[in-house]
Amino acid sequence: MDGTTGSGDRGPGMPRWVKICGVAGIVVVLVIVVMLLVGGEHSPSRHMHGAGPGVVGTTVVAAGSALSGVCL
Amino acid sequence: MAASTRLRKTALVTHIGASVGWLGAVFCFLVLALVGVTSSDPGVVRGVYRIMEPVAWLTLVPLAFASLITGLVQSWVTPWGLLRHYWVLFKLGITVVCTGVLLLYMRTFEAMAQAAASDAPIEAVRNPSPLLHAILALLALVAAMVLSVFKPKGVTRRGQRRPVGVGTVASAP
Repeated sequence: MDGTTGSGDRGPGMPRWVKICGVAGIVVVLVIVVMLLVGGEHSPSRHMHGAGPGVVGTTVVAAGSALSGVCL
Repeated sequence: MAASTRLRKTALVTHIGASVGWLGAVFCFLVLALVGVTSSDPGVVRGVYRIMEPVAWLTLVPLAFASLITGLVQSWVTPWGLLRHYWVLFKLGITVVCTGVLLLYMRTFEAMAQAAASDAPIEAVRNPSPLLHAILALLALVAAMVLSVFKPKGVTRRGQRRPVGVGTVASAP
């Protein structure tokens, strides 16, 4: 944001990078929303793997699902 | 005009400082998380997960809000606007989502700190979650930084309707 605006960015329609990144962004946001709705909330139990009763929950976060973005 | 230039530069420096500071803080958390996952010293592992929560409250959260607020100020004091260019919109989205996830994740930091302070076995204290979240946050913030520098072309419908500079401090005489 240096206060200058290029004059060549007023082309008609939406640029391809916007469409691609927009779809990716919507998918990420949907994944977060689904995780919140399904899990009730982004609670610690989603991330903890059994530190003993009374401390945290016991949900195991599978590395595969986490790396695929499910655990955002 | 001189005043507006000074204002714009001050706002820009503040925004860059907050955003890069946030990026650096996340990188430190990535290293902390890596130590927590890999260290063989139980004291170090417990210390890592205990220190994350207060440090996050004192660095990540303030820097996230500082980045968001100074970014909004930037959109006001420069001709770029907030809703005129796609790259600005994407940066706003990234910042809002990252800040929201961070706030949600603060409860996880708290739970991990409690686990580390308890007499739970060290393997129950060790947790890969901060490492994953730090990597994702780093990728998102780097993407925002790249957008800031390259400013890819693309004007929204609102940007096409409203001439550049209308309603901004920078356009004031």
